[in-house]
Amino acid sequence: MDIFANLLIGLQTAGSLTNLFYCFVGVFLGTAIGVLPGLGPTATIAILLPITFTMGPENALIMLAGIYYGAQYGGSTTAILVNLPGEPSSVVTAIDGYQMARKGRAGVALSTAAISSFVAGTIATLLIALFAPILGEVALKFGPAEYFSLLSLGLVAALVLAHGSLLQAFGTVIVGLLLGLIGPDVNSGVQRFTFGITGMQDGISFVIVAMGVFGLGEIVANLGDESGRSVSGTISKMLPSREDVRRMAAPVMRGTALGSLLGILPGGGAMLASFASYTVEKKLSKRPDEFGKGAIEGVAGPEAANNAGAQTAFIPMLTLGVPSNSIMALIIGAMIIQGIQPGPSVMIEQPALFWGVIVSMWIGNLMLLVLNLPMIGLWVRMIGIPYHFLFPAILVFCAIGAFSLSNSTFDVFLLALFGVVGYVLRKLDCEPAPLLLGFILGPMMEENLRRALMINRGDATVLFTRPISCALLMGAVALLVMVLLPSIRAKRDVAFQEE
Amino acid sequence: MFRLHSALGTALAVLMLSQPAMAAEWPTGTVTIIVPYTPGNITDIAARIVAQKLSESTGQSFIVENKPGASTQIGTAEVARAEPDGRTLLITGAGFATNPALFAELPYDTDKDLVPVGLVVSNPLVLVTAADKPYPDFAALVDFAKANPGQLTMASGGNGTLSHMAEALTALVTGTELIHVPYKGGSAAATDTLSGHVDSMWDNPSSAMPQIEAGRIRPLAVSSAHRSDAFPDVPTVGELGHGNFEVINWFAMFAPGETDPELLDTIHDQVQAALELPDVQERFAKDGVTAGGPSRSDFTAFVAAETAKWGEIIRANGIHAD
Repeated sequence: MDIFANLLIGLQTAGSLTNLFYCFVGVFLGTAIGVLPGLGPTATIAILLPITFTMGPENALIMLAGIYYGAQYGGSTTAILVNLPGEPSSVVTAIDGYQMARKGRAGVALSTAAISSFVAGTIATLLIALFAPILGEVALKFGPAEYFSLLSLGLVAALVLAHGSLLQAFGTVIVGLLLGLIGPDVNSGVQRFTFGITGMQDGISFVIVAMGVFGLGEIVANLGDESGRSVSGTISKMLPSREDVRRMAAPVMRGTALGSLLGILPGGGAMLASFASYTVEKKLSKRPDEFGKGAIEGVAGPEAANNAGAQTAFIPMLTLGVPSNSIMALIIGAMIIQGIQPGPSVMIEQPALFWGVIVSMWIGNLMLLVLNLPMIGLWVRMIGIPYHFLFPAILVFCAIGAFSLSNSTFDVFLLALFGVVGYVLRKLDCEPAPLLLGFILGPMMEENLRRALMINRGDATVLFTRPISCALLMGAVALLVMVLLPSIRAKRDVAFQEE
Repeated sequence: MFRLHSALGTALAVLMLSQPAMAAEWPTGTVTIIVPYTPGNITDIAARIVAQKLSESTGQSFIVENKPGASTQIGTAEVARAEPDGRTLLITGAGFATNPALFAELPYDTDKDLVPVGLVVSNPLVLVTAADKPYPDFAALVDFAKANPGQLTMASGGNGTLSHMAEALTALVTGTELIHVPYKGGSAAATDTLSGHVDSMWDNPSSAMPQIEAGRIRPLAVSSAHRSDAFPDVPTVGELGHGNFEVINWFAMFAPGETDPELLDTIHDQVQAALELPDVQERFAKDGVTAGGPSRSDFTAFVAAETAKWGEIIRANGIHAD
């Protein structure tokens, strides 16, 4: 009963003409910046923060939220079309999405991403409406020990992402881990591997590594390989076939479940969701050999997971005032500017705001679907652009994106360097995805392990005595055994090396 | 020829006439306020509120530019290098006073390259613990720490941050051995304090207040010399018998070192006038934050005292950030 009354309050707020307008502005901007490499939602929300001064709190929050989940939609577009993941969560989409595009199924890949995201967004919004207060408490159960174990599981899963040699996958993960260590040590403040360069004092930005290793590396490799550039003629097909829909249904549901769950966790859980989903789909699939070569499940599952995660990431922020990532922290800043201090009381004292934002998320997801489906034709035509126009344009956008991170030319040079790294990796037949995951997960793992040990006076058994942590570590060990078991490995090698 | 002469003459006359007035006239164009923190941060919000009020009162544009990184060094160095014409200003925090001791080398000279303009906002910190922790008050927390040396954990927003300084000072004045647990930013630390993964933390009132009101965390003490209006029932550390304990989280405006003193006075007065507006005062008071501060000379002395005090504590504890 209550829930309907609440949703009605929300609908009254979100359904007003002004709020519909701001919702549209948000998702439109979000899609646009998601498509542009390098420019992420964090920077955009930061730039737009002063504008929200003059808006009402609901207007501001609805627009900023729209930018955030809109960017999740847009981010997959460049990942699929030109192998440029703009957000950590679209790294996984790039793996099979780009392969689909190379096989002339770019339209199908894009519409799969949009439809999966919409279904996941709808379900996740409903979950927030029904269970937000209870789910918020779950987030608090995760301390440093639990995070370390969750991230260990994630890192093992990173090995599964790669096809081909396990040793190479392992190697690239380690390289990624090492790159992630650059910057100040959290505990002592000591600078590590920065060689006294000011531009590296805060570590290397994910965006630079992703654009360099994926995008630039791909461009250079393409230039050297004339035969790899042909796109076959079935490009006119935009919507998934009945067979495609049948194949994507279960992955979307599983992705939504994983994303909703992991999205709640503070500290980048939403990002883990997309590749957790990929790993699950690859393990469950009857045709694991298609993964990495354009499997539609590899796009549908992770896209559903990252969008569901983007929605449920709002739960701890809205119910507890606890930000689950840097964008939520910015949105909290926007609320403070409005004179609302996010905390457990927002839901009771500001029901119109709380439920208005939740209902606007669903409206926003619908707008995104309507906005994106007709655009697909336009996007697909983009990869038809001759390479001597397309590649320089991508390079320029990447360079602008890198520069805009902290207005520093050093980052542009760093981008070029990672382009070389990406090319070398490709020549060595090493997958870039495990490198990026090592890069993201490594420093978080180290930070949480050291913090868990510190809190428990150096006693490592805490990782096993806490039930959630123990279960996650068991999961990691089980997955590792599955990957390493000689029989499975033999099959895996045969399956993936036939290229 | 004649006309040119007359035009030049007029221009010269105008220039000469306006010369004395111009020295203290401010602003003469767009002013950029550099904030060396990420957007959405409390300093950023304060800077934006000040910028908006100054734009309204002076009719000139005030732009807030975020230049985060390297513990505020990047943004601070940029202002240190800027023209001393009052058109590039810095709003930074207590890190200005702690950085000289935390880093062996800074890209600017704290004493020469920058000059204090005035205090913008300040607030005490409040020591909080999760509601289900067994320390009803500060004395109980100290007793526990004394009975169990090296057992009580205290979170901070990072190595060398003000909450870390407060932790070090707490251990010093109470004679206890605490475990310092640094996080990447205050909000991650506050989350783990709220959930009880760490025992305690010196937090900003703005983030602690809603959780205190909801009964999820308990305030044990405030870090100022006098009680805070935001928490009238919470004692200071000093009144609990631990002597001279004062930690103030302040954000202040600085200008390039060579700026004319007369111009500095003008900027100081304009900024203070903006901060004294009733709606600004009310806006900050709600978060336990005081807007505005003392005269420019008093504030300059305050910055010097802070730099000396934290320098001593940082060196005594062997804390460093490079």
